[in-house]
Amino acid sequence: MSDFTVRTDSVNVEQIMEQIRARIREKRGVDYTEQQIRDLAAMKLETFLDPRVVRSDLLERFQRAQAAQAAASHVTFGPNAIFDTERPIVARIRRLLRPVLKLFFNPNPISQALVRLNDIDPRVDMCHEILHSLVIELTRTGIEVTNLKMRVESLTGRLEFNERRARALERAVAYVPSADEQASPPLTGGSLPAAAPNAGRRSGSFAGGPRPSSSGHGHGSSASAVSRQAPSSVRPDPATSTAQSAPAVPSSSPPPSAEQSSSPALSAGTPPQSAEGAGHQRGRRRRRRRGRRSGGSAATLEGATGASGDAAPPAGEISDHDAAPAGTSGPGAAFEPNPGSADHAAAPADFPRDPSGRSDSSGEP
Amino acid sequence: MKLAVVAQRYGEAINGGAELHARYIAEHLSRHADIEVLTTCAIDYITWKNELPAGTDRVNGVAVRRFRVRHERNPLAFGKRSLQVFHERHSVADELAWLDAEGPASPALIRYIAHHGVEYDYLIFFSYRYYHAYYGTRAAASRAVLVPTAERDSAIGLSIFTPVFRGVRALMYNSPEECAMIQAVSGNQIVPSVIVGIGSDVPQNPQAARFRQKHGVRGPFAVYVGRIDENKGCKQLFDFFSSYLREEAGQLTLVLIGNSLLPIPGHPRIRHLGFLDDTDKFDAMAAADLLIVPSYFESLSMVALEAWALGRPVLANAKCDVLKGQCIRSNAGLYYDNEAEFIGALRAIEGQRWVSGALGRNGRQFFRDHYEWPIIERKYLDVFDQLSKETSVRVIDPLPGWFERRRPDCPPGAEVVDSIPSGPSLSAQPPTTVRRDPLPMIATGPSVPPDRPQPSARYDRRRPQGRGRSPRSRRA
Repeated sequence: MSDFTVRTDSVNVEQIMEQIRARIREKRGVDYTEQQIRDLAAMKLETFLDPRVVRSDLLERFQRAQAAQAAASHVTFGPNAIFDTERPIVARIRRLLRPVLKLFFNPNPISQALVRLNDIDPRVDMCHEILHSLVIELTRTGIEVTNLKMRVESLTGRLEFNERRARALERAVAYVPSADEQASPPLTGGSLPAAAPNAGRRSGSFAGGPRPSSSGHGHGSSASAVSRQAPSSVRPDPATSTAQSAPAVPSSSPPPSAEQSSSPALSAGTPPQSAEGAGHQRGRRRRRRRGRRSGGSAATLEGATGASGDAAPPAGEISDHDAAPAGTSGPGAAFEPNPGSADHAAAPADFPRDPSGRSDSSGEP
Repeated sequence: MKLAVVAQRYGEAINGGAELHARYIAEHLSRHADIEVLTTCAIDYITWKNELPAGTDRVNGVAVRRFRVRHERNPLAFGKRSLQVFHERHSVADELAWLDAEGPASPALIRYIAHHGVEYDYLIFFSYRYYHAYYGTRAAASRAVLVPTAERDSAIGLSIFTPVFRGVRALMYNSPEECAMIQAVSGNQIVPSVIVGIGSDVPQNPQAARFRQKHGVRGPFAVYVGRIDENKGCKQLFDFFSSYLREEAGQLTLVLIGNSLLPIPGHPRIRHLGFLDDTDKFDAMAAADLLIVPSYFESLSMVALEAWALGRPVLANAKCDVLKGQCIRSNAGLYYDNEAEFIGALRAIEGQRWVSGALGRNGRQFFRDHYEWPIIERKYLDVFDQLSKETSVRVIDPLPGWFERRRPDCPPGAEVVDSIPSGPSLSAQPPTTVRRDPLPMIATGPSVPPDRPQPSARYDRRRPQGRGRSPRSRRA
């Protein structure tokens, strides 16, 4: 007959359970099981809490008892009270016989005891009960605070994890060229054929995923992918080229709008932009920054996310910007102004102007 | 060979654990022997009301002989008796009154066994705790084979059952934990026994997609199959799963299959499909990522075995020794003792496919090794073969006399159960064979770890001499 044997396969249930428990211990920081915690909580409360004697209307009773006490406090109790009666004849007989009674025992201690009993305030019981309830509530609150602390720790850990995860995901965004782009021959000029204006917008897409090792610097796979199509020796259109390099302006400097950025002189005489246009500009800058961070080119990002279907930057121009020297383009370096860079220096002056204020990447000189 | 299967109720529509077990065994053994089922006319296990006609019948080709139940169960009286014998000191007479109140009291069935027991080679009694098994084994002790289907509840601590466990010809246990528990309670290591369990007719090609399409279930899910009852741990399951849902990281949905006696939490990821037929049930298990068995007490979880047969991992309640032991021995399931472990185990199965896959593979192999029907049938037939070679010298101790029966010296059942060791049987060694001349034993297995005290010694210490035994036996 076959017997029960422990199977030696690739998993070990006890080991898995031990790992799960270890993780729970790590999270909690205390080596208590759920049952132990509950037992502890119950044990503390049990000492004080007896549900049969807990009165939910305690305050009401307390107030009632206080009123009754106030009324009853007028009743006096003296040494003669035990001999009092409403009937005068009986009272007289008692008074006559009191010396005889005192021959047998001394009623004074009884009277005194009764007086003291009368003095005992019934509110003492209530106070005791209130204290008792307070202790219970404090105990309960203490346990709750401990639990909440644990929960806060757990949430903090989870938040940190999520932040790390978000950062990792941001870094992992990669530009994936479309089949058309891959199929097209390498460009020999600075501009694309007429059919290509929207190519970057339509076919370019971002996909999450690990970055290729060749793109260890800031611009990531989009740089390497696009630069294959457009060699760096190709001179791009200066206007669009500078448009790509515009985000390299330090984030702390005032953001140049499309009009302002055309030239300092022009910016001085340009009327203020509409709120919508300014918001759009800010959004674009944000997208560019994101593009830098994530390794994708800003222009491509805009092309992918821009609402207007005017004209996407030609691939060759993108490549010129993205194919920056590795030394100047790390994740952090993308935000650093490079004073020696001609592109950077020319950026404010050559920033493309869009009269509509909707797009700065029209590609028009 | 002519065999009788004696069960408290029997029928195709009766799906209780032990009853289903009895039916499966009867149907499968009918291929090897002439089987007759002796049972009552009751269908409802709460009332034991006579609903089926007395007399002979056939169910799936097996002859069935039904006997009337003398009285229905009075739940109030039974509850009162249960409180008395489980939680207070009491007498043997109290325990007998409890047994009578529990039912199904069918003196006609016992009379038939007493008069016609010799016509059968062996009588297989199911469920030790019922009237028919207690009095039936006494009526035909020399031919009685008991399938206790015992759980770790207070009834196992009642003193009236000790002579039964010691006096039957053989015991067919469902699990090593059950074996250890009964041996600890009764000290019956000398009685031939074997750990058998039960097989299941799992379809070869369950259709997971069919289930998903039919019931509109999408995404990964965990399934619970069985009566949705607090006694089955479902309330705790709901609490724990609600916490899991609050964590937001998990993707699993809980699908519940079975009749509900509990309000189901209103959450889109907790779905109750009601009672489903076997086809749908197996389809659901095949589609599920795992099966959850939250029960505290099980002598053997058939549904867990079915999940393993289908290559699905199981998440079991660690408070149930049997389930925990099975998970560990099979390496095919995880278990939880508290909410954090429940969530952690769910995540381990959900998040790591290789763990889930490996657990499922182990489960399938475990089922094939131990619970395929040919193996189960062979174990039964081997036991009968062994018993036929030995002479029956074992007798069940008679009931004590009138005065001794009324002496309130029996400890509460719950107290006795608390005093016996708990925990899963982790031993990977085969059960120790105990031989006592002149009786060749088949396999008796204290699956208690070696560091535990021997069950019989503990039992003797716990019980004062002579308690629950006849004066004659004490003198002996």
